[in-house]
Amino acid sequence: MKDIIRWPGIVFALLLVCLEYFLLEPLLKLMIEETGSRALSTSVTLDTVQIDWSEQSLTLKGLEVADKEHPMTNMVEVDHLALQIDALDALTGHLISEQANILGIQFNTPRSESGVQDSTEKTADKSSESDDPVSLPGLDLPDIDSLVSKENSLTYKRYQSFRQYLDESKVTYKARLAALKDKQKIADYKARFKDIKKAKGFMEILNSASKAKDLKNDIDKDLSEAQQLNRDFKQTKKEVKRRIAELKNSPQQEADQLLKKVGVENGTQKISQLIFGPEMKAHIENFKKWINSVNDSDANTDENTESNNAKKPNPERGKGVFVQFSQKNPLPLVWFKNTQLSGDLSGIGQEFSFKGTATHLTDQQTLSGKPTSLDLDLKSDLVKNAKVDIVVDIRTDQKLSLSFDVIQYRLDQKPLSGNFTIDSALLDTQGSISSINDQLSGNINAELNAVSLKTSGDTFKKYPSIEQALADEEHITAKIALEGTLEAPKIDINSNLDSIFNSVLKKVVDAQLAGYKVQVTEKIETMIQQELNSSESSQSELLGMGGDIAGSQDLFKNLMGKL
Amino acid sequence: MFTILAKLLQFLNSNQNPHQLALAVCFGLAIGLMPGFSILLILLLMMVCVIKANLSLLVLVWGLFEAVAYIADPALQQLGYVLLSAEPLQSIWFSLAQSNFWALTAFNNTLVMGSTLAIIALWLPVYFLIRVLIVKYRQKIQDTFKQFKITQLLKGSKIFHIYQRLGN
Repeated sequence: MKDIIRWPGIVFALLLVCLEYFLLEPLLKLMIEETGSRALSTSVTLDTVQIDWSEQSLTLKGLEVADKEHPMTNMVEVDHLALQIDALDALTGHLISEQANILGIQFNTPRSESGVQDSTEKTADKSSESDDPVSLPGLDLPDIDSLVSKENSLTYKRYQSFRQYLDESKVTYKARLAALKDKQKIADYKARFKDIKKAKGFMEILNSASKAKDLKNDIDKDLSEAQQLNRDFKQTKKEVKRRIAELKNSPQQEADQLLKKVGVENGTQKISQLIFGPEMKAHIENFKKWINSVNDSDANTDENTESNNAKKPNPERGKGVFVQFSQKNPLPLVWFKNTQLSGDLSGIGQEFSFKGTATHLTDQQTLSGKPTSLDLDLKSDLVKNAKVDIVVDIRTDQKLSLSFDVIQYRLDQKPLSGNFTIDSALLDTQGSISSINDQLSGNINAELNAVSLKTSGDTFKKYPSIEQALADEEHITAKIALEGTLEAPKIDINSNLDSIFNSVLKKVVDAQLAGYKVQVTEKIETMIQQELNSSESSQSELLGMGGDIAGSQDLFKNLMGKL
Repeated sequence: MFTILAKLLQFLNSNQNPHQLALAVCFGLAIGLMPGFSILLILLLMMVCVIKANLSLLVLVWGLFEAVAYIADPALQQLGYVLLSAEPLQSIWFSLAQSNFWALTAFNNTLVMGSTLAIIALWLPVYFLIRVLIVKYRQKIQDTFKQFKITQLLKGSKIFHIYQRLGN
């Protein structure tokens, strides 16, 4: 035994173990920083790591995860992270904890040094924020000159049709009258009459009786035509009168139609959509970014797993290739089964601190087999009570749901869209939003009490009564329904603000419309005045033909009488 | 080069147990071939601390086999890959993969597996070969070697002085 065992060597080995014990904390710190940086593709740093062997617990202090896009900013900073861990799991790189405390979570804090990684690929921010200028629908009336033009005027078209009718009637009646009162024909009738009268002797008289019968038939035909012409003319006179009357009323009718067409109607405006719609869209955009970040981290983990699954030997010397064998119960890299959370959200623009619990926080939900849930109580001087519950389930589909209940959240100087500002209000709101594979659904109820709603800009300068009515309202309720997709959400907002706004709008628009209608009517009348004057001569010319038409009937009656 | 040669001669001519010298060569070979990221390397170093083996010779052979490992790396990787992907052995690898301890050994790494197999295959032959060679050298060659004229010449040379210095 003495020949084989080196007793001082045992002491040396024990010394090495002790040294390792003391070096383990800095080694673990290094390992966490490197593994975390690789897994998240961004710089992960730690201040200290403490191991408590008796409690089998690990405490990480000053954890900072750099923002990939902004290297001088921490995406997340955690003051204190205490975990109860399984040592063997930890040695194999799996951070599995039954009970964890993550305290002092902060977002978007400044970094002392850049967190840029060599492999970090900067991607251009493709999000295009559309700053559509917002205007109140239906209040701005269009310019009369652009609204009324000869090309589009109904009255002018009617006038043109009337003018054409006059011209065509004139031509028709002239032709029919000329055919009736043909001089050659009349002279022929007179000659045939004289010839009949000249008849003497039995045979001649018998022959002329036959001729008289033929003449009578011909005159009868012309008489019938003259009577028909007379009837038609009476009808034409009636039509001319009707069209003149129609033209007189036309400008007013056209004004009504034009005003309808440009949408100057009242009672249907959705002012709440205008005021709260962009606000809701911004919230949904944040929700979408959050979902994308969850999906990205999941994709990163999958990529890392896939890279480990390489089957062919890597030619790189001294490293080899890890061949992966399936495990009966594979573990995720990180899995905190029950976690106490605390921190504040000021870094993401919310004036809240939070405290709560999370279950099954993990980087690979498919391996933990459980959805991640967070129940948070939000605290702030501005709010009496606020709770947020979040459930993330990305095991098969991308399911995310968020529900909240906020009581008496004080809003001060809260800018909204459309030049509106909530000067002060107390908000009570409950709602739930969920997304399954980009499909969005949700319902939110909001109640604002002790509201002081103000407007700025020129929107209401012309309509002080609307501004006043909105400012006077102290209680606003809104029901918001969400559907569609995250890319194109459909937001339907119903609020009592709509009826308040619409009743005031009706009064304003009615008064405004009365004046506008007169202007539009006058414009149309002026536009076609000249044409109407020129048509008067044409009318009198047509109507003047009445004497000739009536005379043609008498002419044939006389001829018939003589016969 | 002369220094290494002289050192080697010193080990051969010393009174140390051939068994310790053979063990030193085997451990040097194993540590030299084993990749640094496996826990097996730490176990080997612990064993070296505890088991009596000539440490100077071990360090010398370790250095030598680091170079051998570099040259043999592709062959060792290929050998490991063949073993790890061999269908009849899959059930063994699968059962080892369920254990955290075996995961720490990085047994599923092609280089670790290839190197481990090479170490296991070479250990006993190298041990007995070295041991027999040392014994034979001491019995037959050492004295004859001393009587060579060239040895006499070398005694006055630089090598001999280094040899003497190391011996002291």
